[in-house]
Amino acid sequence: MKSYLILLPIFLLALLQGVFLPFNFVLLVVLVWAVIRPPKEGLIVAFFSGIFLDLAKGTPLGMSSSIFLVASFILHLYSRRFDPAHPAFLAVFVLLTSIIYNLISKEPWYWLEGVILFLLALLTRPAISLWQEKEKGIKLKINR
Amino acid sequence: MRNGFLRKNLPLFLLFLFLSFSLLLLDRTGRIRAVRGFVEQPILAIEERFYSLKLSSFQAFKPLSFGQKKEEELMRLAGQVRQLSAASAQLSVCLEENEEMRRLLGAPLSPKWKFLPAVVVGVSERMRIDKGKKAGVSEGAMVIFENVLVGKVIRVGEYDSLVQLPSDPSSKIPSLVRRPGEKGIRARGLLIGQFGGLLLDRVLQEEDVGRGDQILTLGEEGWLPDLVIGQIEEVLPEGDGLYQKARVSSLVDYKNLRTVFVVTP
Repeated sequence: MKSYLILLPIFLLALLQGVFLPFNFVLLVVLVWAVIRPPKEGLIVAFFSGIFLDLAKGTPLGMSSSIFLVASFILHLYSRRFDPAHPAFLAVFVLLTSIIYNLISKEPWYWLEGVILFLLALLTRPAISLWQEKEKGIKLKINR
Repeated sequence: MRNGFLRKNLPLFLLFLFLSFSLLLLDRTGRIRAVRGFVEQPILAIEERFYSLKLSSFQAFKPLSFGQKKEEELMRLAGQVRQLSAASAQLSVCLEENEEMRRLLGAPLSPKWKFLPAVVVGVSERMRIDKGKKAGVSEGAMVIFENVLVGKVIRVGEYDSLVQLPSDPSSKIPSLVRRPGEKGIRARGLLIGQFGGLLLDRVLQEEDVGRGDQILTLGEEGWLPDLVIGQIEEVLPEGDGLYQKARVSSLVDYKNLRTVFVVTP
């Protein structure tokens, strides 16, 4: 239950995106969350984040959640074949999803948004590693 | 592994996807407009506060690098330029109208137009304002600020509307070019949004346009006529033979507007 608290900062981020932030940071957080958390949790977070974003931006309700859900699901689906936490994979995936998101929402896609999200996704690697180490540590303690 | 994953998570994924599509369908058909409006009201209030905060912090930090007096002076001058441009455009229009009226005795602008003040709650790629269907806003309505075009309403909610700015890359406005103080149209063209910038395209090579010329709406394709948009900053040297292009600067900074007016016919 505690891990769903991520929805609070996502809501705040969605509000900021609705007010002035030109880049889709919610998308980045949703995909990073999908990488580091179990699939069920990733899907729930993707759905509610999309709803928050649509309400905050005034876009058609359900549009963002559909895109986030499909993106999170594909990310999980290929997690066996590729390492989804690999910086290059995640960065390219975020970039592609951002392009598709803007195409579907008919919002102008700004190349700078793609570059910034790509770089941020690359930079998330240490944070993801740290998180995974922490999770492993907790599991080991439980097993003992 | 994959089968296990699908067996465990596919039902949940499909359930959420079904919910999302249902919401999308209901929203598109306007069946949950009232519910959405109710939920959005507190969100709009928070966003309005955030936007005001953003504007005031922007104003507070600007003088650090520029000097408050200079900044105030610049703001005053920018306001004057806007007013003069709008007045000059109106004068040109009036000169022409005067001649037409001698012949037609017709009223060119509808006196039925109403100006509905709206507060800006957010500007990212598009502008969001706090007036919607309840206040009488409809899709396609023009949004202006001091006679300067701010955009066109592209989506109407119960208590809010989304405005497409001229700088939006999907925005194409049939425009005309006037030289301040002169009567008559110098050229016609298509004003295209370019991620924050504006480009005047489709201006015939033989037409004489230059820096400082004003760009106004032509009044076609659902746009109201004679609304000032901006002025030519630079006529671009390269051309494809038939048309010339020009870089246009807007007369208002869309990202720093607090109040705008929706023109309701």
